[in-house]
Amino acid sequence: MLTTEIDPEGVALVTLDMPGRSVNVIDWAFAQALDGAVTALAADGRVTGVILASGKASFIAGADLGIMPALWAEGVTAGEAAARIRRIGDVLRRLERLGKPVIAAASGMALGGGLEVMLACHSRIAAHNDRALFGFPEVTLGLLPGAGGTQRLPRLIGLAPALPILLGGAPMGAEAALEAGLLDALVAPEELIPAARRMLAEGRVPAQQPWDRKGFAMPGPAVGSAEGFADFIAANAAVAQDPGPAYPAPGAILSCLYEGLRLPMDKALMVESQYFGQLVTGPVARALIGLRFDARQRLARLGVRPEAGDAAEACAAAMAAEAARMVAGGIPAARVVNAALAAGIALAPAPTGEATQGAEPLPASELQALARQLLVAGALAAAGAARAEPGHADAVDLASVQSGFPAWTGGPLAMIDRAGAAAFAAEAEALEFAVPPAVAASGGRFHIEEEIA
Amino acid sequence: MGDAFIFDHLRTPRGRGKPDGALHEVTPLRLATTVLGALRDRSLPDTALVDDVIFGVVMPIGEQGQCLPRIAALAAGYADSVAGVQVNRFCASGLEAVNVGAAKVMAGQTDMVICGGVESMSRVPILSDGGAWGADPAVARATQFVPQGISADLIAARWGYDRAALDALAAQSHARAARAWTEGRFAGTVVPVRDGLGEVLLAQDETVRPGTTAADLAALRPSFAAMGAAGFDRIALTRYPDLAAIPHLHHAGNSSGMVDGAAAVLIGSLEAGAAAGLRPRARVRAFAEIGSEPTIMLTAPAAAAEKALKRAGMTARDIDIFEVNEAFAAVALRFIEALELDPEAVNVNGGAIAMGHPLGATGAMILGTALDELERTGKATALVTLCVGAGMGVATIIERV
Repeated sequence: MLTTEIDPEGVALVTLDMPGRSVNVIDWAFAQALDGAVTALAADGRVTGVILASGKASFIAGADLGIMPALWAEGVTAGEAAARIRRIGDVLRRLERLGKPVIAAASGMALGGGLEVMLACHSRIAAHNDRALFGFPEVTLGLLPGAGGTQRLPRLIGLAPALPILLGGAPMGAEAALEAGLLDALVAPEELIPAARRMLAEGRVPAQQPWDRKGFAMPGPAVGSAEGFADFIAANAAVAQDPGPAYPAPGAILSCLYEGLRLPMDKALMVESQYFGQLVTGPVARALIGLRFDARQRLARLGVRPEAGDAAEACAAAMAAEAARMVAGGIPAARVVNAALAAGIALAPAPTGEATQGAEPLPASELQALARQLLVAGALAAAGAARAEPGHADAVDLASVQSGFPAWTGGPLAMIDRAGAAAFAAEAEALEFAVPPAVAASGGRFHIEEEIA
Repeated sequence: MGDAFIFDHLRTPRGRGKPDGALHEVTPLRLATTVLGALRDRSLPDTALVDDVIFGVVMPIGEQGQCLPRIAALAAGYADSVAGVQVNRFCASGLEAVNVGAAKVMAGQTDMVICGGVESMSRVPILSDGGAWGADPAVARATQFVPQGISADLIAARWGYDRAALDALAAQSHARAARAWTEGRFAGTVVPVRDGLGEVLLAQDETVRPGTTAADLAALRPSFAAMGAAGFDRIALTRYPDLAAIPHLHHAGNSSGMVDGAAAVLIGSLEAGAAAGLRPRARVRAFAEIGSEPTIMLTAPAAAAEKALKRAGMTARDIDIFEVNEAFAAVALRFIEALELDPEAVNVNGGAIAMGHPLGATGAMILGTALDELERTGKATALVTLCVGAGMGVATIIERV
């Protein structure tokens, strides 16, 4: 998967080309191969510099999500998951401490772990092409860049510019990546490797990361400065509102920054991996990956997306009706609305009522209980409209999330599946809901889980 | 247990805490030496009778850092034996300093102590010391942190104070402070701050605007709406979910001003006072500190007052006058409502909305204001309290002797 060619000037061109795949991804085999390559490059006295390139039209698409189940398998603790993910991070740390200049030459897209590999190189260039995307989509899957991304990006471009990239998850085009400082240069596609060779020959690629130099200071205000203090206060509030407290990843990313950016890199990477371990072993990452990756993959393989608008509408209507029923039963309308918002539920229509004077503070658990009742109502309605048709459960989950059911659950049917049909039916009955036969009939398996290739 | 007596107190005037403020050129150390020097000249020619200088300093960094009270005692020419310590309980630090000093006297572990505080907000800006609360994501999340302005607006929403009520209290603060100055009620207490040549830089509180009306204030724009929309309203509504929204009603005119200033209170045992030839003016009867729900943050003065009253074996009816720090108009309104007080007995000479809130010093300043008012009116008891960051409150009860 990794081939190394050493030219007479001592430049090693290391090309990643995973067999049998249209794109390169990060997995254990990659980590092992890169580890071996780093050892060989360090030992080889001929090698004066390294170009890390891809044999494909893109650089590295990201981590293979197929590695995740091993991290969240039953019995794997957050600490064990952290230790496992560090196997990848440790290789990247070895790469940047090779003692020889390393330049990443990206033929195209580098997302997530792919961008982390680039950030572990001493310089980064990319082919100028319209399809190339760069960014950290981990947050949208309930995760964080766990191989140094949260630590290297702000050390490279500063805290404030790093925040939207890490917290937003939206990828950017090549020119935006150059503008943001993720890339050092954009070159014509055919010029990619020659340009990398030139930069090495001209001594423009350092052999050490800025953060490993004595006296390193992050660009922009320091994390402990008054500006950094204000940045964190604002960012903490922003993520509390959007996506809200039901989503743990943005807060974990901010904690990685707050704690890690004051530390030397090796300790900082430990902190990052610990937060990653907590996220990957928690329920939300699994649900979001199930919804935003697995379900879409299954539907893509199926080739058609079954119509699920009716189920999604029933789900949203059931939540709104349940909210109205709560208000009719004497619960303040504002409490119902605020419980829904805290859980990321979009109620349409939201109930309205009189303002309450002298309102007492409520523990989060009371709001969560109300939100859970809304979710159960929505999920029961979605289950009632589910059809035993390939891909329908995935389509219902995706459509329901579009209609206001929160993504962190994985969707209404995935939520039932995860709880188990019997347990979910018991919970629903305890809340005095009528449970449709579809729930029991599902046997806890609305989704026919398939191995994702 | 012995008694702690107040023998004297004084303060600087409060200067606008901005670069155009009259005290901006004065270092916090010189604000402190101004009150220490004046107290020595007036009441304590032999400074060696004092054990310690306990000052509130809320931003104890930069030129306000390094245990400023000890350095100030040295710089003021006090005896080498006079120690110094800085305390920080956010906005109540000046009153906390008084309570700590009084407690040491009561315990017989100090004879005479100068308590008070100093803050140059124009030179060492508020929040410049950083800290975990609000900034550390794990802490912000767990404690549902919101800034104080949001908390003040949350108080107004929770108890239904409208903009007119808040602005009326603010206008009254200016009117009362202006009247107090006109009638010379602060004359015996406020020490002018002088420049290097001895010329007076400021002799009166700089931010009092006589003639301020509620109608004038009605034109000011709310200060915390953008902050609320950026996520803090959502956090507050998650804690207080029975509220539908948080109307943003506080603004620069009905919130306390940032100012520069210092205050000092001389406290000691009866014996130590007699040895120094001093007559006690008041006794520290009781005090208390308390924590409360941190998101609404600023309602603890009532609980702190009740705790101190209970400790003193008193009720609110036994108190002649009250000083509650006007951090925000809603704080004072809520305190009055919670204790069912006569508004005419609360902040009778104005408060921080008119005169400003020099964080480390305010508690000592309003204690002194209360004592002066008791003496002026021939009354006996006063309760002084401040709301404090992170949901705390501090209260102190004094009685004339």
